[in-house]
Amino acid sequence: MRPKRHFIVMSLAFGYAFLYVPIFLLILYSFNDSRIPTIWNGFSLRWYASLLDNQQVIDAALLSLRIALVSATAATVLGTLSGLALAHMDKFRGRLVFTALIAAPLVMPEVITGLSLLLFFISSEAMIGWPAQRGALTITIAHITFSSAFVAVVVQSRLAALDRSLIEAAMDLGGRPFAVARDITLPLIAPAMLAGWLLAFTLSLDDLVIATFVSGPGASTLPMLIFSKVRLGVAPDVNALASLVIVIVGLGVLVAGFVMRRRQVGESHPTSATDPPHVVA
Amino acid sequence: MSVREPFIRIQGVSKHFGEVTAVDDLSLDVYQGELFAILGGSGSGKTTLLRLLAGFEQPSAGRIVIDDVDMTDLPAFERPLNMMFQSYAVFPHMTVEGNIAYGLKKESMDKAEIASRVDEMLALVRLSDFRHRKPHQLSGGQLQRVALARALIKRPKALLLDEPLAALDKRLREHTQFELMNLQDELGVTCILVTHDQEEAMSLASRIGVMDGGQIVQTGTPTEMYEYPESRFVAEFFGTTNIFEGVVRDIGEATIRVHTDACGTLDLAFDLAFDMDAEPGITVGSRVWIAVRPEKISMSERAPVGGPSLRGQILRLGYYGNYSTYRVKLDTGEVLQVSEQNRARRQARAHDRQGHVYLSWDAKSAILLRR
Repeated sequence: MRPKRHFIVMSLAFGYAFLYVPIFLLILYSFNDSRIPTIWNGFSLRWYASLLDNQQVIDAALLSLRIALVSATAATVLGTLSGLALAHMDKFRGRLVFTALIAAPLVMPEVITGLSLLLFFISSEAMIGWPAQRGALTITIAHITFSSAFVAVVVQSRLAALDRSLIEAAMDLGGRPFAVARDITLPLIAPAMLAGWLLAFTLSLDDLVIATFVSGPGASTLPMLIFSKVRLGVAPDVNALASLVIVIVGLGVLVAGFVMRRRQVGESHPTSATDPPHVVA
Repeated sequence: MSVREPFIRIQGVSKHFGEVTAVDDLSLDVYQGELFAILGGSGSGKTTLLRLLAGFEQPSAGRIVIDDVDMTDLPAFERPLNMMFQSYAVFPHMTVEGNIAYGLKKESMDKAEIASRVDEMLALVRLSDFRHRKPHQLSGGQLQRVALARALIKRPKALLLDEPLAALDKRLREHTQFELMNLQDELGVTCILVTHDQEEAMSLASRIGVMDGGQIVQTGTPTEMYEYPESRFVAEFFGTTNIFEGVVRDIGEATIRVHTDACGTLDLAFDLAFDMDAEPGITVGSRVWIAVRPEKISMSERAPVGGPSLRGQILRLGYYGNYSTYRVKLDTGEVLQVSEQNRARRQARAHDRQGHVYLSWDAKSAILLRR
C-alpha cells in the first residue's frame, strides 16, 4: 500500500502545483518593487497605488462589472425560463434535440461564437439600423446569449432532480399554475438560479475573446485592457490588477460555496441534540 | 351502504397514452364514507385511474361524476378532491404548519380561520409540537401525517391515497393503518386508495376493486374477495391458493362433482351466498378450476374417518412462528400448500416428514372458478 500512497500524494502535489504556482507567482510579483517583473527587488504596494490613479483601469473595471451584473441577471431570467420549458417538455419527442441545442453553446469555440455574434450585429445594423454602434451594449447582449445556456443547464438539472409530485401536490391543493410556480418551483430552484447567476457573472467578467469580437471603440472591458497592456510587455501594475481580480473571484466562489454548503448541511443533518425524541404513537 | 346513491361515479372511462391503453372503458361506483381500495399489479392502470380522479390526467373517453357534479373537464386545482402522494410530496421549504395551511391559503380564507383550522388538524394528527419543524427534521411516519393533514384540511369530498403505507417500515405500517382507519371513521371522508399490496388493501378498505389490464375485474368486501373470488386471477392475487383444473361430472341438488387430474374426483358443496345462480353456464362437461386456500386444508397422520381424503408426503416445511406452511406432494404428483396454526409450542414438528399425511377439506371451502 505504501508506494501507492506515495504516488497519490505526489500526483496530488504536482497537480495542485501545476494549477496554482503560476497564480501564486503572479500575486507574488504584484508586490515586487522592481519595474522589471521578473527580478525581485523588495516588497512594495506601489503598483496597487498606481492602479488607483489609472483612470483607464478604473473605467475598464467598472464597465466589466456593469456588463457582468446586467448580463448575469438577464441570463438567469432567460436561462431559468428555458430550463423550466425544457423540464416540462417530458412528453415531447423533440426534447432531446432541444436539450442538445441549448447545451451546444457550452462547447462551441468562443472564436466562433464571437464571430457569429459580430456578423449578426453587423447585419442587424445594416437591416434595421440597430445596434447603431458596437460597445458595452453589444458585449452585454453577447454575454447574455452564451451565459444563459449555462444557467439553463444548471436550472434544468435541478428541476430534473425535483420530485414532480411536489408540483402536483400544490396543484391538487388548489394552486393555479402561476401560484404553484411562485410558491413551490421558484423557491426550490432558487439555489440553482443563484449558482447559475454566479457562473454567468464570472464567465462575463472573464471573457476576452467574445468581447473583443463584438466590442466597439471606447468600450474596453478589464480582460481586454489587461490583454492589450500585456501585449506591450509584462507590466507590474497588470500583475496587481490581476491579483485583485483573483481575490474578488476567489471570494465570490467561497461565498457561493458557503451558501450551498449551509443549505446542504441543513438538509442532511436534520436532528440536533435539542430536539425532543421522535414520538410515533 | 349499497342501497345509497353512488357518491363517485366513474363512467366508461378510458385513457390512452399513445398506443398504450392504461385504463380501458372502466366503470366504478364508490359510495359516501367508503374506504375503497383499488388493488392491482404494476401496469394494471391503477395509478392512472387515481390520477384521472385527481385531475392530473384527462380521460380519453368517459365521465367522472362526484356528488352529482361532472368533474371530467375540471383541472386538478378546481376539484374538491385531495391526494396523499406516495412520496408524500411534503414541500421541503415550508414548515409543517406551512405545508398544512397551503391548501387553505389558496382558497384565500381569512387568517384567523386558517390558523384555527390548522391548529385543529395539527392536534388531530398529533403534530402540534412539530408545527415549526421543517420536513427534513421529521421521521417517515411524521411526514406521512403531514401529508395526510395537508390533504384533509380542505375537507375534500374524497381523499385519494397513493400507496399510503408503502414507504413505511413494517412495524410503523400496522400502527399507521389503524390510525388511518380511525381518522377515516372520525371524519367520515370518502377515501379511494391505490395499492399493489393485498394486505394493505384488505386491512384498510371496506371495499376492494381488483384491477387488471385497465379494467376492474371484481369488486367486493375483503372477505368476499378472499373467500369468493370470481376468477383465478383474483384468487391468486389475494394470498396463496392451490388451484387445479377439472371437468364437471355431475351437478346435484347441493353439490357439484368435478373430476381433476390432480386430486381425483371432488365434491363441492354450494355455499348459501354463492349458489349456482351466480355461476351460470356451468354444465356437465364444463372446464372449471377449483381453488382451495392452504389454511382450509386439514392435515392428519391417519386417514380421517367418514370422508374422502388425499394421501401425500411432506416435501418442505416453512416455520413462521405463529403458523407453519407445508408443501405436500400428493400421490398423484400434485404439490399442495397447506398451512397450520402452531397452537402448541411443539407443534412445529408435529407432522412426520417421512410418513404419509392425509389432507382433507370441507366441501364448502373449495372454490369453483369459471375463469
